Amino acid sequence: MHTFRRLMKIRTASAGLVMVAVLAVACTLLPPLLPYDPLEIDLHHRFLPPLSGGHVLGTDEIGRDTLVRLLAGARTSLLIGLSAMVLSTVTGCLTGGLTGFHGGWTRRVLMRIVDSVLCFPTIFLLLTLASFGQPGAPTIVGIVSLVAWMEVSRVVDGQVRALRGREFVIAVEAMGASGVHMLLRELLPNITGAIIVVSTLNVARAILMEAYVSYLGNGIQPPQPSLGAMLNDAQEYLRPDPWLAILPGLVIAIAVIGLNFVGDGLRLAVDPRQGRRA
Amino acid sequence: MADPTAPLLDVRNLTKIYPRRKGLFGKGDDFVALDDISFTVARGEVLGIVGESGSGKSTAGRIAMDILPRTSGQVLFDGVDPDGMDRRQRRAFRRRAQMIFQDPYASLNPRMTVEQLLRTPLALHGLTAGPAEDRRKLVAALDLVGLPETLLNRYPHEFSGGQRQRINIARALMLDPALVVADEAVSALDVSVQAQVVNLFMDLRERLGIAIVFIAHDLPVVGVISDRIAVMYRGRIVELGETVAMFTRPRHPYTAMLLNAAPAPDSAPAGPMAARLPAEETDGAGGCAFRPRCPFAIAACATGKPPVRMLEGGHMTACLRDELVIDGPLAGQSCR
Ligand SMILES: Nc1ncnc2c1ncn2[C@@H]1O[C@H](COP(=O)(O)OP(=O)(O)O)[C@@H](O)[C@H]1O
Ligand code: SF4
Ligand SMILES: [Mg+2]
Repeated sequence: MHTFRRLMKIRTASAGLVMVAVLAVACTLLPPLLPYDPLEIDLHHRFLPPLSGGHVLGTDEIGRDTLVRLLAGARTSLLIGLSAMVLSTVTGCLTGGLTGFHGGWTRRVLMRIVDSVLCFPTIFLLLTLASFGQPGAPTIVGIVSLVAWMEVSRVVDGQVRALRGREFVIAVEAMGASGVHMLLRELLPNITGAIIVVSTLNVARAILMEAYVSYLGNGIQPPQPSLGAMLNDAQEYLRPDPWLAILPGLVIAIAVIGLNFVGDGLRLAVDPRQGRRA
Repeated sequence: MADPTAPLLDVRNLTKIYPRRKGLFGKGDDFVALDDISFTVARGEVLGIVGESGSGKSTAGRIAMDILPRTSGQVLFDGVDPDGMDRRQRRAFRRRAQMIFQDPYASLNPRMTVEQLLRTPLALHGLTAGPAEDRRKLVAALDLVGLPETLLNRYPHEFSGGQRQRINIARALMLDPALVVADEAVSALDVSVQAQVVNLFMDLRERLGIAIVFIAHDLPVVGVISDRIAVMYRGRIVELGETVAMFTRPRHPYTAMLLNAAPAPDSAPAGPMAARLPAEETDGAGGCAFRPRCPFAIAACATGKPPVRMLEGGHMTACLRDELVIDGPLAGQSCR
């Protein structure tokens, strides 16, 4: 509760939270209220500009309603972001928790792998992996998680290591607590803040990654709407109909910037000492 | 079942060596934190362990609790070494031996309420017996340490240092321990609060018959509560004996120094002792480790570690000079 109040005091963070919330609410509640289907083709009304012919944001090259497609694409993006986040957070907490707790050679090996993978530009790794897999949402979730869990793992490992020798952990150890109890009941609850921060930033990253991959044709396959694929489609008509590119770009920006604002804000809100230093 | 007249805790020839490396590839320069120490604690007895910071008190306490590996030596709890205990014995050991730490702020999980903190030991040992019965136990433990049950839903940060230490003690009591190792349990507290918590420990020993290893760097505080006291210097026990005997006639010059650095034992406990170990002091290599600071040193003190001498009444000292007569604060008083 204190954390939330501190978060709302940070202007960028509250703005980010509003951006993400509006987007999430819009793409869950709005589509059923609109009279169009994202896959519905209407060749008589192609390239309608926004606010014309009953289409709030116009139509695309085969007459599909842009607003409905944007909302559906954003929904896919958010779902992919959330699934990748859940998967990577769980994996990262388990691995980082174990290595941070036990140390030793497992830790050295795992952290060395994490470090060397994380120093590659993620996007190349992602595209390479994507070209091997069956295109689609589950593949993207898998691939993004494959990279994202390492960030979580590194953070959890560091924090668990820092807290492992603290007296409140030794105290329950002396009362007979098992490693599992110490990790799950004593250590992890004390680092939820740090975990939430990386996880939030990971959602943003996953959304951006989905857009990249779909833009390059290895992600969500047509005719299913995806923000990245919409950007790609719009390329051909950039000159006469720029809004077809601007709109999905804007939605990606809102989601990613909003989540980053929230994540950065959380970093300060969770650990006020860091805020004073900054 | 172990012999009831045998000591509850019997520590024999405990040695702890920390390997220390100088620089990245430097040759190992081992640090002897405990050098062959032995002591016993009888059922219901309070043994004080005193010595300046860095003398090895916490190391000894933690090894006795089996939360720190030792280099060599034996720890017998009820005649069995935790090192060789089977699962069941180990569980019983973890229940019957409890530890209280110095820093009451760091030893409670900041994310748990008092209720959750006190329930943890019950859950760990499968001793939960339904919400109502558990709650009765929690309230009883809080009552023993003088805290009202209205605090159950509060978090540690809402309490003062003294209250937190009471919560720590209540948590240890949840398991009905036979032994409590209190490592500097009052050192971080204000002087007036120190006295209250020391009184609480004495009260618990009286009412529940709990044996206590009371570790502190402040000899007067230790003197108030302890039946016997072990004085540590640089990883060795240099004197061990009954409190009254030690306060009447300390046998080791270091004990005398600790006594003179502080007021008499029945006055209020004093603040942290002024005399601390200088950072880089020659350790009287080869001879008595205390020699560089000893006002009574003689030539013989430089040759070889002084052997442990047994005196009457189970008193022991590691000072060569047996003819030395030093008056303690109780000297001249016929009886305490
Ligand atoms: N993990 C460790 N590694 C190396 N040296 C240590 C370690 N822990 C303690 N020591 C050293 O052992 C000595 C005894 O420490 P400790 O038992 O904590 O003393 P005390 O509790 O009497 O202050 C100190 O000099 C300390 O520096
Ligand atoms: S042995 Fe010598 S140096 Fe050591 S305490 Fe006794 S008199 Fe002092
Ligand atoms: Mg200590």
